[in-house]
Amino acid sequence: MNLARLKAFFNPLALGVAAFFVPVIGLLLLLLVDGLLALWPGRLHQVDGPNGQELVLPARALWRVIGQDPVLVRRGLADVIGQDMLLLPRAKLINASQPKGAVRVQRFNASGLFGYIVAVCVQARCEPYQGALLEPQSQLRLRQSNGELVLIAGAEIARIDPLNDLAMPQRVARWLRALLGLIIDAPRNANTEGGMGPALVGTSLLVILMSAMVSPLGVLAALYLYRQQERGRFARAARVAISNLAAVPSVLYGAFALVAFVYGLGGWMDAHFFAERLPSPTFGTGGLLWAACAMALLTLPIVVTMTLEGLERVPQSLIEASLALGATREETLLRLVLPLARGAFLTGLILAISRAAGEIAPLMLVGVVKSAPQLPLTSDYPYIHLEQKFMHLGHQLFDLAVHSPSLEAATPMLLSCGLLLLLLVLGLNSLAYLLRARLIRGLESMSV
Amino acid sequence: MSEDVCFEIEQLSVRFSSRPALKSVSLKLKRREVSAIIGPSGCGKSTLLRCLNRLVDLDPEARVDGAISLKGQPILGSGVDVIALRARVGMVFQKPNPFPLSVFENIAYGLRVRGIKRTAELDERVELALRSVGLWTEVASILLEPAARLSLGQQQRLMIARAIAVEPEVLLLDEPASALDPISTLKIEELIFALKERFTVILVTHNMQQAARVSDFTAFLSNGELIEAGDTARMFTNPTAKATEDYITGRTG
Repeated sequence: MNLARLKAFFNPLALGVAAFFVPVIGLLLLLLVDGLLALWPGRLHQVDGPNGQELVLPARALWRVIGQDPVLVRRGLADVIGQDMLLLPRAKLINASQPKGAVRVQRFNASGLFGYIVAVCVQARCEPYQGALLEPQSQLRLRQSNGELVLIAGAEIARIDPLNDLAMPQRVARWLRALLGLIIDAPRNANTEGGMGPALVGTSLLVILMSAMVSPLGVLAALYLYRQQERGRFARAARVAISNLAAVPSVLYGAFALVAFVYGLGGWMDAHFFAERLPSPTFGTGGLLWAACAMALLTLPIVVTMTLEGLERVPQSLIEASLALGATREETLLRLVLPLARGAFLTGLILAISRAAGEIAPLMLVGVVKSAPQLPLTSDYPYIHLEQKFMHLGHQLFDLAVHSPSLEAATPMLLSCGLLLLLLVLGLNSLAYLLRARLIRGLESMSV
Repeated sequence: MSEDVCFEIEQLSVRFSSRPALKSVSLKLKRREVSAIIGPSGCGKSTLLRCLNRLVDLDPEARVDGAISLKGQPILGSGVDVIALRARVGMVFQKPNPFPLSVFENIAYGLRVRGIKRTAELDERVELALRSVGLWTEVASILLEPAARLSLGQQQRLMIARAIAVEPEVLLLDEPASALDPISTLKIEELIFALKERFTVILVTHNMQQAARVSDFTAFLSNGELIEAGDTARMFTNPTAKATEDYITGRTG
C-alpha cells in the first residue's frame, strides 16, 4: 500500500484535528440516533415476566439492531411494582406476541401505563373507548397486564397511543409529533417526559436579554480601549484584566451576581419599590433579570476582545485616508472604523450567545429552577416578567441526569435535551465562523 | 510675492524620537503649479508632505519644529484647526486605499463628512469628481460595486477623485504612481497636468522622469536636508549641487 498516504494518515496534525472532530461528531451522532429513536412509538410486547404476563416496551428502539442481551425494557407497572425498568433475555422478546388493542397511556404527573382499555366512564355511565382524548371529568378504565384494573382521570392523561394497531404512516406521524413536542410541549412527570418548551423559552429569553446587555457595554468598552491603546497605564491594565476575566470560573460570576445583584441591587429595589410585598422578595431573589446580568458579565470579555480585535484590524491607511479628507477622529471612528468592525462584534456576540446558552453553573445560583410552572413570557402586561424564575436547557439536562427518579425512564429526554443544546450551540458557533470568514475576506479585498 | 506662494516652509525640522527625518528645510511652493519633491528613499520627502496636512501628528513620536504657512496663515502649532486645514489640503497616498465601500460611497464619504446629505447634490458632485479624473465613463455602470474590484490604476484615479470631490485648494500626491503599471502611470501624469489648472499640486516622487515631465518646480531632498530647489527645467539641465546631478543622472540613489 501507498506509504506516503499511510504517513499522511498518521500525520500528528491530522491526529490533532481528528482528536477535535471525532468526539464532537461522535457525540452528535450518538445524540442524533439515540435521541431521535428514543421517541419512536414501537410495539408493545407481551412476555412472561416475573409478575406473570406483562406488557413491555423495549426501551431502546434500536434493540434489534444493537443486539443487546439481555434487553432493557420498560413496563407500565411503575405504580404497582414501583420499578419501571426490567432486564429480559432477548429470546423472550423475540418470541413475544404483540397483542392487538394494547395501549400506552402517558400521564402528566406520573409515568406511563400499559394495558387494555376497558371503558370510558363519566360517573356511572360507561362507554367503549372511541379513540379520542378524554374529557377532563371522565375516567379511563385500564386493565393492566397483571389483571389489575386502574382508573385514570381524564385530566391526568397526556396521550393515548394504541401502539400495536398503528399503520406505518400513523406511526411516523406520531413520532414526528413527539419530536415536535420536544420543542413545544411542557415537561411531564417531573421533567422526565414531555417536552422542553419552557426550558427552550427560558434559554432563549436569557440569551436575548444577555445580548441586549452585553452588546452596548461590550462595544463601549472596546471603543474606550481602542482609543486609549497607546496612552495610559490604566487602559493597558484594563485590557489585561479583561482577558483575565475570560478565565474566571463561571460559578464565581454566579456567586458575584448573587451577592451584588440579587442581595445587593435586588434587596435595595425590594425595599424601595416593592415594600408592600415584603417579606416575600420580588427582585431580591434569583430571577431572569439577574441571571441575564450574570451572563452578560460572564460573556463581556468575549465581546470586548473580539470587537477590539475588529477595530484594530481596520488598516491604518484607511484611517489616514479618512482623516486626510477632513474627518475628525470621532467621525472616522463612527463612520468608518466601527462599521468595519461590525463583523467582529457580531462574531463576538454569537460566541457569547453560544457560551451563555450552554453555561449553567452561575445560573443555578441566580434564578434557574427545575420546574417553573409559569413562563416568564405572558400575554398580559408587562409581557416579560424579569423577576420570575425560569427553566434552562442546560439545567434541565443536569437535573435529568442527577435527580430523576429513574434514569432509564429519563434517558429519551436526556438524549433529546443534550441534542437540542448541542445543536443550538453548534449552530450559533458555525454562524460565528461564517461571519468571521466573511469579515476577513472583506478586509483582504480592501487593502489590495 | 506672497500672492503667488501657497506653502511657505521655514526651518522645518522633524524628529521621530531620536531619529531626525527633516533638518531645517526652508522652501516656498507656488500656487497653481506642480511642485515635485524628489530624493532617495528615506530622505524625508513623505514626512515633508505629511507636515503640510498635519498627518504627521498621528505619529506620537514625531516632533515638529519650524514654521509652515498656507497662504500666509500658520498651520503648525496647537491652536490651528487641523480639520479645517485638511479640508483645504487633500492627499492621495502611495498605494490606493479605497474604503471597503462602493465606488460611489468612496467619493461620497468626504462629502458626507462635510455635511452634504441631499441625494441629488451627492450624485452631482460624485459625477463631477469622477469626470474630472476621467473615470466616469469607465465606472458609471458600476457605481454601486465595491471599489476594490477596480484595477489598481482605476483605484488610484478614484483616490484622486475622492480627494478633489471635497474641493480642496491643494492636492498632495505621495508617489501616486509608484504602485502602477506604465499605462496607468501615464494616465495619472496626464491627470496631474490637467489638475494644476484647478489646484496647487505637490507631488512626491522618486521617479526622475516623472518629475521632469509633469512638474514646474522641483526640490531635491537628501538625508533630510534640502539640497537644491528651483525650476524643473533648470534643475534637470543645469543642477548647481553635485549631489543633485549625481542623483538625477542616476549615479546615486
